[in-house]
Amino acid sequence: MKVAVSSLGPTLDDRVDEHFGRAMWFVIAGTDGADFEAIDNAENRNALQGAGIASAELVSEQGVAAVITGHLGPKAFSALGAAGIPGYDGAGMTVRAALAAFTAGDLGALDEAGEAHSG
Amino acid sequence: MSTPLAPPRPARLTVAVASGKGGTGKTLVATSLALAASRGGTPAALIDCDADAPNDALFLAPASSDTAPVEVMLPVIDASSCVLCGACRDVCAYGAVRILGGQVMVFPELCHGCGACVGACTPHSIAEQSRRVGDVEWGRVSPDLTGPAGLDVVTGRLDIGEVKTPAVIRAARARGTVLARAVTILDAPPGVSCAAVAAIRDADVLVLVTEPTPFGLHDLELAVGLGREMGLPMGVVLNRDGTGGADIAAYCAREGIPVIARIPFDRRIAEIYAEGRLVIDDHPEGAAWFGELWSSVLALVAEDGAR
Repeated sequence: MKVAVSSLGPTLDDRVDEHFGRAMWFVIAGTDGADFEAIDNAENRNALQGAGIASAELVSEQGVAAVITGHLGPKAFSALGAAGIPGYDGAGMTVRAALAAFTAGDLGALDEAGEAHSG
Repeated sequence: MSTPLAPPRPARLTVAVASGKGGTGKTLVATSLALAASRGGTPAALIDCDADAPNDALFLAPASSDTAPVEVMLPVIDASSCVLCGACRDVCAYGAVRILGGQVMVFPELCHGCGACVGACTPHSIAEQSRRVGDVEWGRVSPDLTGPAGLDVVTGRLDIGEVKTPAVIRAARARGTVLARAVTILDAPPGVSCAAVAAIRDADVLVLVTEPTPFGLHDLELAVGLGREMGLPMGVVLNRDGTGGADIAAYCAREGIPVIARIPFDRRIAEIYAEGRLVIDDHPEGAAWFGELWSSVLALVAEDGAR
């Protein structure tokens, strides 16, 4: 099962980026954390608008089953909802710790949209 | 010896009243300037392009003659014939069409209604549906107020929760084109973004209202940049003259932009405005200020035409 983690850098030891649409990177990883791929989110990060939607499309194309981030804006939330991808709160953790906590069922679901342009 | 001919005045004149900063006095200037024009014998129309918060009609109380909805087009996807090729998404300049969870999704708040996706869709799976975003209302101001030349007020009004301000402004201006008065005055929204551009595009002259505060100067510089980009002749109205500390006149001199009117900081003006009355009528100097401002605007246009 693949998961997308918004992150501040391209490794498992970087912290979870609390922003989803304008995340620095997405680490796409299996829940075992063995294989992973980092995608630079520069294009969406610098988009004038619609960053949340574009990032939702990006992770959806990666075939992930869940997203770990800090906040989801209303448009990102509805876009991920349409793609059937739930969001989980991994704010403050490293990517590695967030993946482990997700696998253990310890991450809270982000079940409502945060404020638009949070932070 | 022949006398040089005065440069011809354009058959129709469009004057945009704008500012970078909000609250500098655009509406105060636009309403009284429109009356000065009509009282000077020129049939005029005032188009309230501040579609997020239009209020020119509050001051001029036109008889409401008509209202028309403003609609934008929104793509509607037929999922049964869509082959998920992504052509609609790739052609959309605004990122409003996305493919998520094996279906095409349209995000109305990003869509500009341009129809590019419809054209790009080879299986013809996209239809368009119109969606209301606001309305335009227009009517004539009482001749007791305007004199026989007359003044029409057109109000563009954005529906609550909508964001397509430029579409409403374009519709309000199109109504002004239908009215075809000799002079059209555009009361622009504040700022220098899409809405302000839609309001001042193709005007003949730009009247920038500012105040002598650091914010006023800063945002005037932005508005001057926009006016330059659009190639418009400009004049500055310095409102609340005598307050603040920013030297607007020095800036204008450096930039070669004339200060065409000064309206002093005067409690009476604030009282008149707050009571929904008109400075041109209810301030002892109002008629002189706006009569002279109208002459200065015409002189700016003539000078630009002669160049």
